[in-house]
Amino acid sequence: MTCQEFDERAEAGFDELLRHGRVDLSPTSLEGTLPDGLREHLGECGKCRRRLRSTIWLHATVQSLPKPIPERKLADAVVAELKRDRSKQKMSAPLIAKPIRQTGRLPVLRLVVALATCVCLAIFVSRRSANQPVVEAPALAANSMPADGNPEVAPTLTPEITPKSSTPHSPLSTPRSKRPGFSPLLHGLEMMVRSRPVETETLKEASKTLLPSGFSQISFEKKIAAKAVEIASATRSVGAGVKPVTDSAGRAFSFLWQDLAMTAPNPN
Amino acid sequence: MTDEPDLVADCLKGSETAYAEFVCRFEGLVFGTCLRMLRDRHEAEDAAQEIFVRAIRGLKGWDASRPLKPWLLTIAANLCRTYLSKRKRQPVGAELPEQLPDRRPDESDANELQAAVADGLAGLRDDYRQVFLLYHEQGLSYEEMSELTAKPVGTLKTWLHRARGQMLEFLRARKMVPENWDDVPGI
Repeated sequence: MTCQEFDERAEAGFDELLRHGRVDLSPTSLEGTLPDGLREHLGECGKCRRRLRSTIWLHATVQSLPKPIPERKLADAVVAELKRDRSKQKMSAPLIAKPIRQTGRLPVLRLVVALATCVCLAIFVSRRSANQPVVEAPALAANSMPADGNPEVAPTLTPEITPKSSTPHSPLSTPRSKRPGFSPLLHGLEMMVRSRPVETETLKEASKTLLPSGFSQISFEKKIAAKAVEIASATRSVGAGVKPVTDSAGRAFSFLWQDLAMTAPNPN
Repeated sequence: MTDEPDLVADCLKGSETAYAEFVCRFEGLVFGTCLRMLRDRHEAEDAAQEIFVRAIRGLKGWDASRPLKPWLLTIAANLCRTYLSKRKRQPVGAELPEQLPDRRPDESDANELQAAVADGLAGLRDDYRQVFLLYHEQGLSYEEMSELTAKPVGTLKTWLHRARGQMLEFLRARKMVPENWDDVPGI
């Protein structure tokens, strides 16, 4: 038997003694428990003998150490703490069972959040609508007829939209139809004047065809001409921002002439 | 004396008498382990109290087919490790309890050899000391220690071998060890 084998077997035997017997491990008692093979090796090998004896001696010394006793009465302290635990559980149990604490806060919180969201949304929408300018008719370039003069080809219109960023604080413009003193009659006339050059001859023709008989044509012609000139000058100052009226539009506005004839002052 | 399963059953019923009996039965084992591990009497008492409270609270999880002692020692060892790691994190400045070995006259000075053994244990590494005490003082086997410490048996054997060697060296330096082992009677 080698020293290593002895060591393993002695260790196992020692462990086995501890496991089962918990016997008194004094050297005398241990000697009797050693198998024959181990005892023979102990007789031959002084190193293994010394190691085993030192282990047994150490074990016996540790076993002889006095068992320490706590100064504090551990039993009382432990019982008191466990009793406190139980009373805490009893106290906290009804509180946990209360549904109002569990379910009361969340709906309120949700409601508050929803209300806050609604208020924010309303403020945002109102501010946005207040800042948004009234959409005005885009300024169009002057009517440009094609070079060949073909009336069938639609005129090229170039919208000239002023970028918002350039005039962020521009005063809000009111639609023309809502401005004070707006007259649909004059407006239609203006459109016609802008669509084609107004000539006195045309106006004379119009007065002949449209005005009732007996109507003082000369004074009315003069008035019409003066009005046309006035409108033309006014529209020129407005610039090229109004969409010109085409021939069809002019025909559509022909009722205005009738209207004008009806409202014209009677020379008689 | 009540059997372990009956005692545990009584504890689970909430009997205060059973609690007290449980503590009294394992007081020496638990407090001794704590004191040897922590080497501070007050800390050991606090730890022992906490161990018993935890153990009684956790008795529902105890496997009745297994002995109570290793289970209790597992709780004790884990808590002692926690205490030791907390102590290591303490700021340096105040004198640590580790530097003040428990030297009570009724325990240490009564026997010079016992005092020397206590000092030798105090000088061991925590792991070595734990294994040494569990094996030689508490009488646990390697398998039980392996379960308790979650370390392989081979590691525990190595630690135990080194702990024994350091203890013998310490005691030899104090001339506490017999010069000639052949003179030791009985072998």
